[in-house]
Amino acid sequence: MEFRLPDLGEGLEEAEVVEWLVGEGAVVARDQPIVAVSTDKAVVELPAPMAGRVTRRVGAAGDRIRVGEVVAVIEEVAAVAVPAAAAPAPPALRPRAAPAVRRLAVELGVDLQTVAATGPGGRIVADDVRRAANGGAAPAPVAPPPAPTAASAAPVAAGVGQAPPGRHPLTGIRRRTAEVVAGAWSSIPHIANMDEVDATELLEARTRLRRAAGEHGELIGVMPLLVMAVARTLRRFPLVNAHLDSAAGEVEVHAAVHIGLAVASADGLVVPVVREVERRGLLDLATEIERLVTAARSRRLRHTELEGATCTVTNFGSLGGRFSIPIIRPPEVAIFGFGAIAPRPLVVDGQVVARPTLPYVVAVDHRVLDGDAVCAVSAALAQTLGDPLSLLLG
Amino acid sequence: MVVGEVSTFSEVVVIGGGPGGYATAERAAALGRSVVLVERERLGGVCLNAGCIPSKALIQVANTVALPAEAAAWGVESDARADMERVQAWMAAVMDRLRGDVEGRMRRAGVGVVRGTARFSTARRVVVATNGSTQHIEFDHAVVATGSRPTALRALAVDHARILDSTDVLALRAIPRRTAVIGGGYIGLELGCALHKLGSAVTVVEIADRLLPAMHPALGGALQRRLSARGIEVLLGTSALDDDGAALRVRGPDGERRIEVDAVVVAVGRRPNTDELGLERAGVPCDAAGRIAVDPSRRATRTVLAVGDVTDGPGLAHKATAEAEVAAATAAGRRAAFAPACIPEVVFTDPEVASAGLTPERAREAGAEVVTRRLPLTASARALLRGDGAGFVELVAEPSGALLGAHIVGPDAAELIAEAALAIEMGATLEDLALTIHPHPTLSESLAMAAMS
Repeated sequence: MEFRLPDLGEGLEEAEVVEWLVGEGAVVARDQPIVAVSTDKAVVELPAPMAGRVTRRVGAAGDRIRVGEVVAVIEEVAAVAVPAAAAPAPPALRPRAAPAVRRLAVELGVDLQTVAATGPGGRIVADDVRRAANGGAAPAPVAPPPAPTAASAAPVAAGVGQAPPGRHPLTGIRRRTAEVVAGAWSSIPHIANMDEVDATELLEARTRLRRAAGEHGELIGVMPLLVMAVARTLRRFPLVNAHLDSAAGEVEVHAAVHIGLAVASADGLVVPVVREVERRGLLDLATEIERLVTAARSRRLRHTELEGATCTVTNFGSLGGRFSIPIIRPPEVAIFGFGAIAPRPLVVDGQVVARPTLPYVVAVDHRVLDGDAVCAVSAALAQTLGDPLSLLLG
Repeated sequence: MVVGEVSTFSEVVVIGGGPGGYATAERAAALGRSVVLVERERLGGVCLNAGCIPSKALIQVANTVALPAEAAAWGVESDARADMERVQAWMAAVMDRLRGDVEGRMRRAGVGVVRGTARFSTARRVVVATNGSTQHIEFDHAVVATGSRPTALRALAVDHARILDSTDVLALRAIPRRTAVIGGGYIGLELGCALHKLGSAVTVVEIADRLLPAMHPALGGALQRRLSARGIEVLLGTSALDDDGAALRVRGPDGERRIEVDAVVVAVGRRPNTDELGLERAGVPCDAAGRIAVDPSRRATRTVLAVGDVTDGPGLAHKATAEAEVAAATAAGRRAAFAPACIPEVVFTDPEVASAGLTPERAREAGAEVVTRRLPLTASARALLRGDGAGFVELVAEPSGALLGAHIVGPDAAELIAEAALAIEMGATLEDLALTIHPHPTLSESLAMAAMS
């Protein structure tokens, strides 16, 4: 039987092979994932439509396959003819993974059903789980990255900026990111304002909220507070919470605030969307952010969770950055970026003192908004961040 | 809280000092949490004080007493008698030593042990009553590990003189001449076998149509043949009606019958100790059987966790200990889940019975196709030396060979099953087992031979 690329929805016409999960000649169970394909930004594992032997695989990693084209050929095999050690065993009851690997998966929040196994006989090994947790694809044949030095400020994901000499195709999310950012950078005239705000109150609020949240306290980091502050700022400046339809020459201002969160995964940049931020309480918001970031890193986002952002927040501070110019994601008209909070010199009452400060960046599309808007939005955001109790005002 | 009452705070309060409780306390303390362990009687729980440990001591004594009769067939003549007073003194010394070990572990871990009976007063507080005084302890997480107690039969109230529960049997200072054991599960059969070897004429009364009804059907059948051959009477499909002080009245497939006995042992299961904990005040629901429902992280509610016999699953110490690891991690704010591939079950009868993983029936119910491999132990030289070769090893696997279950009746089955459990957890195949070189001549060979067959 020829297994053709099914319609994956969302009007997609083609997908790219990320990784084969079974070898040619493998005997697979019905519904066993056999190949991982990347559509826009989500990676989907396609299950076998029937039990049998995979006699042919079409396409290698990086090849693009159109909907309706043959992905694999699966032939029926008589049950008795299946040799005992033929191929990756169908995980009839549970994924094959040793207890220590299963515990690691729980700790990292990885669903073993979604993990591609590289161990002998289809076993999931610890590295498979770690890779899935980092949202990564199959290991690239690269030299291990140099160990981070003790001085490095923030954890750097393994593999960042690493590749052996030679030509490498842009595949999957990388290719898609390349297209989008190139279009954005060449068509959007960015103007940006950068500043720092005293984060003393913000950190104090985070600590107290954590305590107040009891056992859910660990969910409450600075990020949910930042996202909430951005949402409040967008409510005060509705034109920033908008989409530009440049073909129609119109700006669509949105009533609801759906914030995209830029997440660095091993596959590249992924931007899941928190819906209706303005309606959420802090704990709810924190829980949703945690869920989306975890799903993004383990490639379990649904397409719908990647769409419909009205504005985007990027937290380059988590990677150790201080100031940067983020690229607006069309058709959005603004993006907010946050750097790392660290003790820095600040003038307070005429004295230079060390205070934790939060660097932030507001960038807008100059076609829609002018410099006065950037500065007003920045000032409003800074006011909220400097006095987080004001978030209670709504 | 009444004005004037003082409460202390501990991040984790563990209720119950058995294998589930003390393991949770030790592990949570190792993960940096402040821990108080509340125990109403003795540390070690049923396992150490009235279960696994003393029963194995009694079984060891019984096996030794019975050995000369077996060894006579090998040409060895000897005699063995048990002085039950001294046996009990030895058992007490072993238990004292083990209890001291647990106390030492708690001390070294920095766990505060509080003697008394704990009841929840809210979802964040327990009150501990000790000899009339009370203290309140607030907590972030409480872990219920209060275990279980023998189920009572209305018609046969345990009087600890003629009608005994398992705890009474383990403390016997004289062996009854004739004993009826109600219950053909693992507790009844272990005690029945031991009593028989110690000289009692034993009748086992089981309401189901086979022994060990919760296990692979062939296990109970094979065991029953051995017990019957040795002179233990087994009545299946039979229920106990009442006892008149001289005889037990039972009704079976052939009608009613009086069995004259000197003691009746009631071993018809265990029920969770959850009814006196004030769980409703903590908002913790129990099912009709008194069990606390928990998620894989062992949470029943945001603040209350549970491990061991008070939760679903077999009431086994090693299950409780494994759950304790997870509960402690959860209480320490880590992500953890109790999801073993198998929980081995062992029955210390003669021959021993042990299982790990799925029976063919359960595997098929779970949607798996299965293959089975069974090896009679007559094929094992060592099993022949150890006895008469009775018993078997049965392996259950997916068609790909991945091992799903192992079921053993035979000498030292309880030791052999650990290899099968490891194989199941690691996702090993029949081929892996067969190709692993097993030493000769051992009982363990039979696992590899079964895999090869």
